[in-house]
Amino acid sequence: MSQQLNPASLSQTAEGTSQPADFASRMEGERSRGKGRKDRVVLKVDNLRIHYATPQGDVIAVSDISFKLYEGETLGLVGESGCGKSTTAYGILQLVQPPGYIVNGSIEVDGTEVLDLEEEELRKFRWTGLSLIPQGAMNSLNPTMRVKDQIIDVIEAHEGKQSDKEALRERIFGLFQNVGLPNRIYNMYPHELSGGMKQRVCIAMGVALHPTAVIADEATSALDVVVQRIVAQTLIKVKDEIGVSLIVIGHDMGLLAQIVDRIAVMYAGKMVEIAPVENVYAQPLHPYTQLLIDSIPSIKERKPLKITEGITHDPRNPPSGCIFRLRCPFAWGHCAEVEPRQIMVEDLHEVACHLYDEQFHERRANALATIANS
Amino acid sequence: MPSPLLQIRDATKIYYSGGFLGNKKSVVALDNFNMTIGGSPATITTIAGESGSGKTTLANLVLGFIKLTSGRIIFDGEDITDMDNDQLKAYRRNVQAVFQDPFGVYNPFYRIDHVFDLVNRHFSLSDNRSEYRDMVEAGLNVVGLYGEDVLRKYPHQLSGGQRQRIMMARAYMIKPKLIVADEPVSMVDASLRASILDAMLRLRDEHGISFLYITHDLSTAYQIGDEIYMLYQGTTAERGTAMDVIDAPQHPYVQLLIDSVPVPDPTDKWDVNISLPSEEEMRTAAAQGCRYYPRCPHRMDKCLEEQPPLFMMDKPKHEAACYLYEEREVAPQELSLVENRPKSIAAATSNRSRNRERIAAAVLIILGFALGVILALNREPEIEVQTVVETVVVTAVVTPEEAAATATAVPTAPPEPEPAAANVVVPKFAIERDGAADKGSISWGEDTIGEIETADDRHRYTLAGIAGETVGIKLITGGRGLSGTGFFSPLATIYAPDGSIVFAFDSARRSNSGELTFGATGSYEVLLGADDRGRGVDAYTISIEGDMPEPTPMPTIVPPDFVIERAGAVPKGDIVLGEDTVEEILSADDRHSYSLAAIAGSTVEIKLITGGRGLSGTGFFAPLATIYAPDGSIVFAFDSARRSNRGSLTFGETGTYQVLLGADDRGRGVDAYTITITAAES
Repeated sequence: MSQQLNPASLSQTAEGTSQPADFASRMEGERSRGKGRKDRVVLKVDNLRIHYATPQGDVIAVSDISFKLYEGETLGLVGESGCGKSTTAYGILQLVQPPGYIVNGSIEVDGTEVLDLEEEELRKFRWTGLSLIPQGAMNSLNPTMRVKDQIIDVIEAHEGKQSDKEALRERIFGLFQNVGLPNRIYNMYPHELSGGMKQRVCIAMGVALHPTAVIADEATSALDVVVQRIVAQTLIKVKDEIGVSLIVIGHDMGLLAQIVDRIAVMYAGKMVEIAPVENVYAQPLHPYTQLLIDSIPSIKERKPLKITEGITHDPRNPPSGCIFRLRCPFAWGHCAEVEPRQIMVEDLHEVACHLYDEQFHERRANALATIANS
Repeated sequence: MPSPLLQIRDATKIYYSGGFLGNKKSVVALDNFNMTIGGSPATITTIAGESGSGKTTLANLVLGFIKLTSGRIIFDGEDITDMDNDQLKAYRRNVQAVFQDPFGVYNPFYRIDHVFDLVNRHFSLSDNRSEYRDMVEAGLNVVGLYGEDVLRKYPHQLSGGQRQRIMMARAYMIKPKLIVADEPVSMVDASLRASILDAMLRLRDEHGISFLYITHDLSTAYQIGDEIYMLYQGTTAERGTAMDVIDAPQHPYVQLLIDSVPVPDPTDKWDVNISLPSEEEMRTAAAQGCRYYPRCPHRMDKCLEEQPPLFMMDKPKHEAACYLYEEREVAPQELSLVENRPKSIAAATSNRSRNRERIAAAVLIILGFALGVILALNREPEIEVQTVVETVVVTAVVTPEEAAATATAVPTAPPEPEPAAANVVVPKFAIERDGAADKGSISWGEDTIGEIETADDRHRYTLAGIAGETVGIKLITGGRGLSGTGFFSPLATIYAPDGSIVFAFDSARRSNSGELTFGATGSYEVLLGADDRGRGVDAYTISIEGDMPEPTPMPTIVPPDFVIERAGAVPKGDIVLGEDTVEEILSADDRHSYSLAAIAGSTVEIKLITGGRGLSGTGFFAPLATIYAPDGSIVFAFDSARRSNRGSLTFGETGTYQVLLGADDRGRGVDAYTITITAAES
């Protein structure tokens, strides 16, 4: 059933039904199953802003976003193309290519400020602190190098020449086992592997140095559903075994529902909602999140198609106030003037929308009174 | 039976590679494949399967890009395998394509209108400029776009969804009978896919264009597909209606496939203990016998001997190729080919004979339809065996105290200025019938309808609800339609004023009673009817109980009729209630938007005074002033349809209307304008 913003759906929370409590205990369960603890933050992004310079002015790709990644957690980062998901990932790793540049912000990984690192430290930090499985990674394997050489390359680039070849071999076999690959591919070339296997080689490379967190950018799009399921399940299994935290970037809301603990929704460079995955699907708060959830095609029931257009404004000149107001069914004058704050609705659930802000409702009541009186 | 549109018989396509000195390798992309797409009504036939299953080979064969190794493809009675170039050109009028990549098909140096110009030139659609422009506009409107929004733009300025829909509009202009859509949504964002699917549905339902929809995305096939063919390594593993196959897959491969589709529900997670075959196993096929043997959890020795034929399942047309169903009947061979005598080239291109063909086709369709009706009538006794009464009761439980408590404790959705203030009297809710068929009579609070036989025979009611009020809804059911479907069909659906579904008896609500609290004040639509599969409900009653007030017409409102609030990006000049002058708008981005709180039934006069550029000489009239209804639809625009600079608008519903003023599509500014909105004299 489609969730609409109406008093009925909101009142369930406001009246304090058992839902939030249930939810907290469920989250606790989730975390004890993985290795994570909700109190330990491994990655903290604060006010990150990234621009792309163009002759007509800067395009704001990422606009002052903040979020935390907890230990052992899988965080989904969603939004339509061009909303800044991938740029955020590249920004966190300091891999933004010119004309892109980081304007301001802070990125802390295990207490280290990434933006303060020197080039040499940064090189070491990548793949040991944070690693990235880039979009279309399986096509980025070097076709002229054997699988083993590519993985050895990653290890030796960070840990220096390995003298004990036997130990290195065992280590790679261990990685293969983690991602469910047979040992016989050790000596193979990438073109001899299927898409799903190549993708798993990329996952093995990503976790080879036991980073604190792994960012997987659209790691399973472009794969058939059965293979996608295998790769997605591999990713989660490896995450739990090695004990890393994971950021999964994607736009397939169905897949994310299956594998992530929390979801961060981005729209046109802004973070509009961050919430535990159960909340997002059962009770999306931000009108954009509602639209995203509504537009998921189901294989369980036929429902009327929810038609939407993409981001419509010029990214060089975003609308004043709320970024989503041009498409928002609830937009009101106030939305054009004041940018919504990030409001903590309940534990771990934040939303940037005036609808959940008391001040907004006061103002609206006044406006209505004016209509009635004049 | 109407003559089929497309028939594929024993189609085999083998690709050869290498083999200069005998060492020839071959890949069987399609193996003795059979398919029939009916002529009328138009349908969406889905071809689904993983990569390498032969889907795209099939598309390329139907489009005539590649030739069959053996077998035949008959389109509208003509074999396409031995067509010459002229015949192929005529064939392409009837069979158009939409491809996967919405970026690659456009030349980035040309504006969008170039796409249509090319079509016009190639197929000589019209010499008359204004007639041609109307054709383009009509095509765009079918897919939910407007010429002034897209024609003068470059491809990179449009979203993937818009680009794919323009491809559909382009195909539509040629008025084909079939569109082959090869993964049209796979490269488009999930949230934008619905617009493309909707365009396909409209072309099917309103313009009689059939689709061969090739995809690996089963959820979209489920939403819009009529029949589905599940391919596995060039053979049909299973086929049937999309709903039958996806609801209850029978072939082990299709079961695995459907089980692997991620469900967008975090509480319904994949079974992590399921053991999936390793990928190498998934890729290898048996040399003979069932292609799925190496991966199949149910494999038997028999499977290696011979490829299984399609066996008939419980539902009509539902067939699966698996020896698990060996004791069932083998599906009958395809009907014999319906083929016309070959046409001459002259006949294919001459207009007059084309018209004659059309008439002949129409006669054929009518004859076929009549035959179908006769067959259906003969079969009727079977249908009438089950006659069960369905009853729908809508009970209103209005609890003012609770409603008031809810209203104060909780932030409400903003678009509705609540008319509860001052002198407005609104009934708690009023129900008004607007049924398609006149069966039975409606009395206040209760309605009985004799029979609903088809999916189209739906009954619609209007329910005026006030935000915060609660109604209780109860559905008493039996017999066809709801039970035994596996999924609960939405026999009763309630739509909010903004078109969203706020209540439905569907799979999420297995209970037959529920409560609905109105989120916004306005007209709610109650839709009752047959289920998705078109199966009828024999009878139902809708009734409203409790101490309802007499239904009163929507109240007449004392002014103010509207209030204008300015929300422009740049503060230039002051805003007066009802009037605003802006000195200059320099770029397309510098738009000014206003909120107009309006009450249904009231009328305003709109006047736009502009200077110079922007409106004249653009070829297309730019929408310098557009008014959007609360549901986002455009209710007023100074565009090509309205060349005058003044007009009046009567508000259809109570809510916040948006007025958008700005520069034209080419980014050229208007020097100055004044928009005046005043209440009309009543």
